[in-house]
Amino acid sequence: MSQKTAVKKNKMTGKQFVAQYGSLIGLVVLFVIFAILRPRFVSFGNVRNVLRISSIDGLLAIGMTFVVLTGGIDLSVGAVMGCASMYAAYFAQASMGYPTIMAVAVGALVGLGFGVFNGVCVAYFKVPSFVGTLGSMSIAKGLTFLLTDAKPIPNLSDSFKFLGGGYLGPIPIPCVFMILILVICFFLLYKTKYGRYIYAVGGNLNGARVSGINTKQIMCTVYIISGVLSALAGVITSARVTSGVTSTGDGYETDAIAAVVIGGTSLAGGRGRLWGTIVGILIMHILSNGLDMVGVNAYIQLVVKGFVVIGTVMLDGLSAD
Amino acid sequence: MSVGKNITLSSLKDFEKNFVLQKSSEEKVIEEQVKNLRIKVARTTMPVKALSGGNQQKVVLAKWMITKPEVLIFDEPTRGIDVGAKAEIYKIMCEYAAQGNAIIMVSSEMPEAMGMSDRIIVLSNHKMSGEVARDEFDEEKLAQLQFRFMNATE
Repeated sequence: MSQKTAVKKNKMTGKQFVAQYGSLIGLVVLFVIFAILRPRFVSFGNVRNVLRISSIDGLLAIGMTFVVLTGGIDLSVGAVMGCASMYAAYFAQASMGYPTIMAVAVGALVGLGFGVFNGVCVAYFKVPSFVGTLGSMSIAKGLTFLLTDAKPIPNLSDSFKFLGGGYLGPIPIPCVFMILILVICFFLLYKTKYGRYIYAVGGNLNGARVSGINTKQIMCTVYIISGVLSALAGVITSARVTSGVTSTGDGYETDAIAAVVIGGTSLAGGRGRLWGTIVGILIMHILSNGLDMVGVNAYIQLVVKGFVVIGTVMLDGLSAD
Repeated sequence: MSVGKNITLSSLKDFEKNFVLQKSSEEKVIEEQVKNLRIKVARTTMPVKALSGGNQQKVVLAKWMITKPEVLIFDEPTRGIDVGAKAEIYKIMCEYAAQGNAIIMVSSEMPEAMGMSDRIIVLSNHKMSGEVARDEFDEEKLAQLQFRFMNATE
């Protein structure tokens, strides 16, 4: 190999550097800014709290990453989160006497059900993912309200509540769970055939099909992953807030999509990294937490978030060519 | 997707051990294919769309040759490809056939068909109109066979 080619291997243009690490840099910058503005931001208690919430809501973004990588989108994640949280809470009531594992299983089943439904509609009945998951969102919301006629479910068992508020040493249980999920997802996406196929399907659906990949199966299963993860987020949320409320997960789909997009995953599919989504999740939550601390109006925060999402994708678009 | 990942896409189960993809054996096979097919690429991690049309075709070829098929089917293999890559693909096809494998090539370019084949089956209007052996290859004859069933009422 000539000397020229050897040099090419190690050099990365400034543009590429920004594209690869832009969001990470943004995350660090945000963190530093808030740390300076409000020292309490970096207190152990606050950091732990931000991590706890990120670990729960982040599950939606992780699942969404799988779906978006195949070129689809899952708009039902927030509603499924809410639905699962209510149904799990129902079985987690102290008065019911069911074991916590059963409440969790019920919640997971809700996620599985919607995941399969979404997956089958999109992969086998060719319903565009936007439409299919929008429909599921509505179905999930309806089922959520139907359970208790929109009344909250309080008085959950202690063992259930532990899932949301407990600790394993200094680490909140939701964080432990998120770490577990991340290990599994990283493995799945980067070390298995399945992960490769996901990228192939998203990158070129027809190309993947003629390469011998069962594209329908791949397209279906990513929605199942998304559904189950969203449901588990819902289960842990009702554990954390110690009651099932119908508003859980409302509007969370936007944050999930924002996190995925900020992380550098393309909505067209086939391009993106899981750690990018993690950065995206953290940026969203640090923004919320930091702006809260600085006293910024919650509504202004929404506006800021919107600009952040658009800005990141614009920068990404400018640096690619 | 990168060049390397495209090459192994159809044979991933060969690199699996307990559901885990073995990077080292994968990379070995990728290097082998790049060398054997003379695929011009600086790094196999480059996206495949950065390659020329001819080299992209070689990547597709590599992808399937790894699966060691006894019969390899080509559909217009050199359409839209530069002359240099064309010649290379012909060479690869001949080498593969010489190893005892069968190749079925669909082509609408007569010189290509005549140059490469041991025998040609001509289709006319969705029907087989004739089979010609190499020693009987003749442009006029092949053209005639093409139009044999052509004046059917449409």
